[in-house]
Amino acid sequence: MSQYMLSDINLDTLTELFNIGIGQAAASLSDMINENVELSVPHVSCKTMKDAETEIDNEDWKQLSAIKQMFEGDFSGNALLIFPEKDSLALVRRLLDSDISIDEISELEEDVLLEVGNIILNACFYSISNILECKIAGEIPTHSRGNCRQLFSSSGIDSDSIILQLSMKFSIPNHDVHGVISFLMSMNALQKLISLLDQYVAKLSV
Amino acid sequence: MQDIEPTNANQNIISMLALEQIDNGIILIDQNHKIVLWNNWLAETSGIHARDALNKTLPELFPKCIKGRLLQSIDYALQQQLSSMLSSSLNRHVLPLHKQSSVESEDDISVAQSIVVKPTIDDDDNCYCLVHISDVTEMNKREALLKQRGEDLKLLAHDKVISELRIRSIIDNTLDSIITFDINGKIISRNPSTSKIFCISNGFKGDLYLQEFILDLEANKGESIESVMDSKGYTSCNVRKSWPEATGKRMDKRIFPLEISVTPLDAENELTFTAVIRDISQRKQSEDKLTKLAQNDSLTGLANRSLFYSQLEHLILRTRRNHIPSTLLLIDLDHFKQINDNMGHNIGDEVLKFVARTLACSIRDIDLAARLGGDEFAVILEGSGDSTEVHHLVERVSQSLSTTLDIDSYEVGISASIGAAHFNADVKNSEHLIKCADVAMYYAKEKGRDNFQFYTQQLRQISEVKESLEHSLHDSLKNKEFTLYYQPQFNIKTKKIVGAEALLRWNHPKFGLVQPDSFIPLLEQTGLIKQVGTWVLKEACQQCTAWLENNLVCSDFVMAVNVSGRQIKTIETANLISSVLDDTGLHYKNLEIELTESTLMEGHRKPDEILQELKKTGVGISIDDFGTGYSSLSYLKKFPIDNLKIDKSFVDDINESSDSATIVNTIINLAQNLNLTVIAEGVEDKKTLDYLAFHHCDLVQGYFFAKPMSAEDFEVFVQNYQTNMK
Repeated sequence: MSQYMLSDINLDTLTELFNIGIGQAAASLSDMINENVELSVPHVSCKTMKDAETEIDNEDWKQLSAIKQMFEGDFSGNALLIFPEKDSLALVRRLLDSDISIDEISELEEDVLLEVGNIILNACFYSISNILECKIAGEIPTHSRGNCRQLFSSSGIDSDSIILQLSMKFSIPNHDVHGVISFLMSMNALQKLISLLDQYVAKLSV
Repeated sequence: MQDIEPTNANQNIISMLALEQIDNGIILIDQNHKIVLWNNWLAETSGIHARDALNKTLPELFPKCIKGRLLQSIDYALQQQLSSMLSSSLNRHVLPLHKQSSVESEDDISVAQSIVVKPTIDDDDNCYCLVHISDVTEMNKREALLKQRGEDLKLLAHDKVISELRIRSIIDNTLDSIITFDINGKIISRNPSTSKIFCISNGFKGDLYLQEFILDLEANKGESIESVMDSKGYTSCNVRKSWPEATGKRMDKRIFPLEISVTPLDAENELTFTAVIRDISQRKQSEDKLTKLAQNDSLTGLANRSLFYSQLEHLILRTRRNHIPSTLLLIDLDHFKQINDNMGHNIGDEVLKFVARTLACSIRDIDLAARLGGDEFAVILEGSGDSTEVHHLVERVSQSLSTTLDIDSYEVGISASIGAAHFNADVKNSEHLIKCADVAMYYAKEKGRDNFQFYTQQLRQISEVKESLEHSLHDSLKNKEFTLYYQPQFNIKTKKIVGAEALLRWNHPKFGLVQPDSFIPLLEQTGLIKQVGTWVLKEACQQCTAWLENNLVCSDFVMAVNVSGRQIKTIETANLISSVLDDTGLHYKNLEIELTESTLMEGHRKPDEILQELKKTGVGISIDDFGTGYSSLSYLKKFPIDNLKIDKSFVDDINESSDSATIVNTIINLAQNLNLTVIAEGVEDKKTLDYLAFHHCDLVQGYFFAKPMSAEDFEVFVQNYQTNMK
């Protein structure tokens, strides 16, 4: 997807940054539930919102559950961690103690999802701001449901905007859950990110 | 607490100080991870007093049990300004906090915590970390409560700190009184507006009870505040109850209207209630004012049409229940238009005000007088079953309204026509009732105005017949129900039949032969007069032609046809006459058009224009009912008139009244001097005929010779008459 302004080397750099962050998130999650949670190396791509919508427009991805966290600072936007809704419940069930009843799970689902999203997204923010030496402040996450279009449109960005997308796989014992992180940013914010990446790459090659 | 210098903290942090008392844990941590705020709730649940917690780090306070996730979140907040939330489900008991499981039990239970960690920066760019801990031990219970309280309170779950502040601010600043009270009505807490609304002095310290302030809740909804407070009833009524209009009592004993809603709140096993109370006295005042504006006539101050209708509807409903008869009066001023036109609207308005005053003085307090519009008034006499009593009242009103007023040096003579209708439980509806009174009023007008008329059985029949006639009138022409009757006219000297007047009759399939004076006005009102008039003209001409052809009548026989005011207004009347003459082959000299004076004078067009046009056709023109209308001598001279017809009313009285005799005599002289033929109608006896003959009246018509009859009877009559003559 290099046609959208991000050079291959920038994409590689981002993949590495996110990989570090997500690694930390996996450690935090494992630590919390005393079970091994693995998160795959994310596939990072850059595409228009329209493309992103069509790409994840298959049967499993009709009804989605998303954790959204606003961020602002050197560059601002919204980060969304998206799961198919049916997977989100399975994930919650795996993460919670097995003695919790189904009724209670649905009550707690949102709470748990918020924290899982919070851990993963914060890890990504942390890793980016730490390594690229920039400031990103993250807000408290919120949870929403709906189809792809509804989730994206609530962020106030039009469908031609470019989004930065991370696809990855959660592996918890006996279960794989696919999730996507989308960074919805304005063009200015994306430019800022690119210039930060360029600076970082330049520094490395010195 | 006191250890923090307010100057070092930004406004946000100062606000947090207010949260000292809240039921949540608040920890503020500075950049060095030292605790700078440790609120009461934490002191209670952790057993660590604020003075021991301040300036320490969390791991120092809880070396064993503090979990990595919380510390990492604090790191994130202080270093990267990332916010975190720790779900109670995944991090059940992050800090070792305990509370009593219930009031009765002394057992401690561990507090389940939902934690929000937020970075916050003060004015000097110092970064703090705010840790907000919610007790979610009773999560399920709480969630159910939250759901019940609605979506907006869900905010609490996400950002309890901010929303607590918001809610506090709303409660403190709203103009409504918000109080919480227990099942005895004892007020536990109240917001500042409560004191304002109920005039509670600032220093007041004693116990207050809701019952002292709210007086008549049960009167409003059949449900008392006690019934809401009844804990047994609680399960069935644990939703919000509201009383849109209750009576409140201020501390200074003043009574005022208020709106109240009460929500039960089952918190910590103790049932309390929250009441929101709004002082609606201002709203009520403006409502009352608006109602008055909307329901009263601005000129007279009487009730207006809409209030009248709604009161009448209510009374009808009451009457159906209690079977007490009442009376409706409709009052219409006579000739009010002329007062307005001739003396100006100011005088007219004064007259209306006088009528309003008169009506208002004449009736009892429970009765209602209204102005329906223009010069039309109505009075509802409630419970006035006694007809004689009402009769006297109506008579009195009628008399007081028949008077001469002295307004701005004008002498204004007024009178009114009053229609009254009694009604009882069997009354159909308000429209029908008004119609009855209306019928009575018009009857009063017909009787010559300045009187009153009750709607009676007889009047009901008349109006029913009229209504039914109106319906059937439309079909009557099609069904050939109309027929012409002919009344012969005689030469008073030769005794010969010289003509006939064609008279319209309606042979109704149900009512039989209907008199013209009952249906001609209907024809005019419905506009059918045009078609019927045309038919009459054609029929009469055809008949006349036939009789001439059969030599039944002499060649100068004249058929007189009445033309109404409505017909004459249209330009086509002259054309119509010409074409009918053409079609029937009747000579113009055999046709005579009878017009009344009022027909001529009330027409929009000038009378001489109408007459000139008619005259062009060559037919004779006769003025009907002469003497009853304007009787302008100038038009007799000016207009191409051939005949004068003396009105029946004078002819009738010839023998009784010398005045009538003189009038008849004068008309005859006048006509002869002007070279007009004069005809007397309504001749019913020999004495009258002799008088007319003596005074040289030309023609006569009346029952003494023959009454109006059908064409067949007319033919028989003429043949017999001529035979007898010979």
